[in-house]
Amino acid sequence: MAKPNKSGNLDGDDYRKGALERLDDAFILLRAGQFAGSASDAGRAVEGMLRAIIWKRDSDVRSGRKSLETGHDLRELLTHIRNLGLMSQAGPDDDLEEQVLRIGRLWFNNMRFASSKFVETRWLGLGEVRKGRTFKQATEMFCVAAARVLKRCEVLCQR
Amino acid sequence: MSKVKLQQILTERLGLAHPTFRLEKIGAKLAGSVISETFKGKSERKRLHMLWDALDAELGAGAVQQVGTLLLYTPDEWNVDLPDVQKAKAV
Repeated sequence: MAKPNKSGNLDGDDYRKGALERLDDAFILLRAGQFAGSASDAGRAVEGMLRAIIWKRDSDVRSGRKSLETGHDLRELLTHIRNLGLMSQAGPDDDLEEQVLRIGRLWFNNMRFASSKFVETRWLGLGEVRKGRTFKQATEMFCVAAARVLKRCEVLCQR
Repeated sequence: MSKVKLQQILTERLGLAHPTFRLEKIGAKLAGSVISETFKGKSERKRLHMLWDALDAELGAGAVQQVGTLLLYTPDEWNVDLPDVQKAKAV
């Protein structure tokens, strides 16, 4: 069994592996019809992968001079990555930005406590669930968007 | 399941052309990235459903216990230019 690092805190690899596990959980729950849990885990996967990149690329975060605590705001994490100079001005990172903004609009940290009815009603209010798009379809689109974010981030993590 | 076995299943079931695999054990499952021209022109959703169909057909209910997240790339998506990465402070 893998041992936690000495500090007991998460490092970049912990965030990355956790994010890949959360996305796996999200798709398992999606296929099982557990949509609120699926969306919650997909959003958490995105948060974890954004944190992984920041941890790996920002020496101030690694050394503890700067905190990674952003109140779980995905848009703020994305801004941090952009400020590190890791995003292209145009091209593939347009999609990364678009997907993170979309997920950030629909996901909230307390989603892990919410019932499916609560999430469905909220997404209905945001126009994500509507005539011609069921909660199931919206959740699948949300998870696919999360997968696209993780793919791009994984490339950044591996370089 | 071994990495070689999973690579074989995916290559055969998905008909992958010249695939590259970057697989690792995360917890009890194999996870990672699969890169192939076969995914070109297919949406993310389509790729995922292809993957699930292949794993379900080969492994049945055991698929979710043995295989974790697999990120599916075309070579262009994997080898994308990252001009600023060299400037950033990497570990």
